[in-house]
Amino acid sequence: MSVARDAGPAAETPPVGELVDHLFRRESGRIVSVLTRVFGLRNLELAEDVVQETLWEALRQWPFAGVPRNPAGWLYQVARNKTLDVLRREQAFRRLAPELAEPAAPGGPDQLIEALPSPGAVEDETLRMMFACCHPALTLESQIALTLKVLGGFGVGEIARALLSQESAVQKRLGRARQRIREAAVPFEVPSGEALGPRVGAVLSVLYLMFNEGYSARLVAERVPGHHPAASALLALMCFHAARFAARLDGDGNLLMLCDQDRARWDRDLIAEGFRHLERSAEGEQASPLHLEAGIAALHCLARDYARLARREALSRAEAGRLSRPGGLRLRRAAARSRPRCCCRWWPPTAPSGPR
Amino acid sequence: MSQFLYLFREGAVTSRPSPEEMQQVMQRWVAWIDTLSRGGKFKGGDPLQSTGKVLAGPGGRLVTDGPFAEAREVVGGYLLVDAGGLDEAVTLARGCPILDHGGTVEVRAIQDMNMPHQRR
Repeated sequence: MSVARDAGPAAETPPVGELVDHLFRRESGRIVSVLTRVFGLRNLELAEDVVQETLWEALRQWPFAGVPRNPAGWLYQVARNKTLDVLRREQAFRRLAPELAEPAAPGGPDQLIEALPSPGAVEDETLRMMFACCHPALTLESQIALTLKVLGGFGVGEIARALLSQESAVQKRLGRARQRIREAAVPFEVPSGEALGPRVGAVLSVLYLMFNEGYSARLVAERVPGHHPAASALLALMCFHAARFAARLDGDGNLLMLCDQDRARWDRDLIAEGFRHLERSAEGEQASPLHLEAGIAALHCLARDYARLARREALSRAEAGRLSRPGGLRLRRAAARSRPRCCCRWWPPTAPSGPR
Repeated sequence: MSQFLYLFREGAVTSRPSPEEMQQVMQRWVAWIDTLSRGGKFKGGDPLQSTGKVLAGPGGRLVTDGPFAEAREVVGGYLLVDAGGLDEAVTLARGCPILDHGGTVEVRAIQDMNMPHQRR
């Protein structure tokens, strides 16, 4: 018997709540990114399968054995072992039928496994994956779907709901996206030099959508190399939104509109960080739609009450509408839909009841 | 108090759950076992790997990879619980999340060797 819970205090069994919310979702994106170093982008689905298997393993073992002390480390280690199994099987298969098997990556299984980045270097791989998923060889819709699937750890059903689409359509889109990645030989790297600039915009659009869907996109946005004012604007926007997370629910867990939120519960540190990013975003020649949205969010964070701002916001909003959004209609629609699940609703269905 | 054995079979997996859905199922498993544990019912248990060997014939001369049953019939894990009787053991088992996903829980009383054999 591996577990004896009736012997002594349950020190080895942490309470259920200690498992971080969205742990599986977050780690699956990170582990797929790391494994792609071994399997190559061409075999993206193989990496996704290994992660799925890893999560099954956790699902089978943790209820009995207790949640491990370092759940993310456990998942990473199991994924690593499963990868080694896959590589060894593949190696054997290649020996038996060399004409059938395409190597996942050059090198023997053990060398490949040794070359896997340490868990501490995961964010670099995540960033590479982000740029791969947002590669111009893919349509914007595919970029979003693939990022949500691979990095965001979303299921097909969840993506379909986020993009107001059908599951079967999302499934096909993902299949085509993986196919395009193979055909176009999309590299697993962050572009450098002149190539970087145009690629950043696509990445930022997708990050903002993912942020609205509850995924922590901040880490990735922070690591975009070089200085991009729009990236700073996005970071500012995310900080301002996140600062209001605690205040967006009432005591019964109901969502509160911006006008009803208790401003004392807004996170002052995050707001301050938002302003630091906003300041950095003020460089350069161009104001992006993200700049305007960040500006509006900043005004909300400064204002003493909601009504004071409603009119001014309407003006800025109208101006934002005139700027062309990078993502086109589909993106705007998806963003508009996901916004109520975020921290505020810009347009309350009823007029605000006045200052509180 | 008697001991009971729960045998879990996962049933046919029809869909590919998302990481978030898997985490939710996992948390419900942990919560259920935690409830058994707090009530002093939990006596132990383990998951089982899906592959093994099956021995047959005198001296186990015939060894095959197994269990080779239909996937839905493979036992995926077991628990031992203390319960006042079969009824209570069944009631406790109702909280198992596997039941919501097409799986089954088989509840079996452990034969007490000090008691004469009982027919049920």
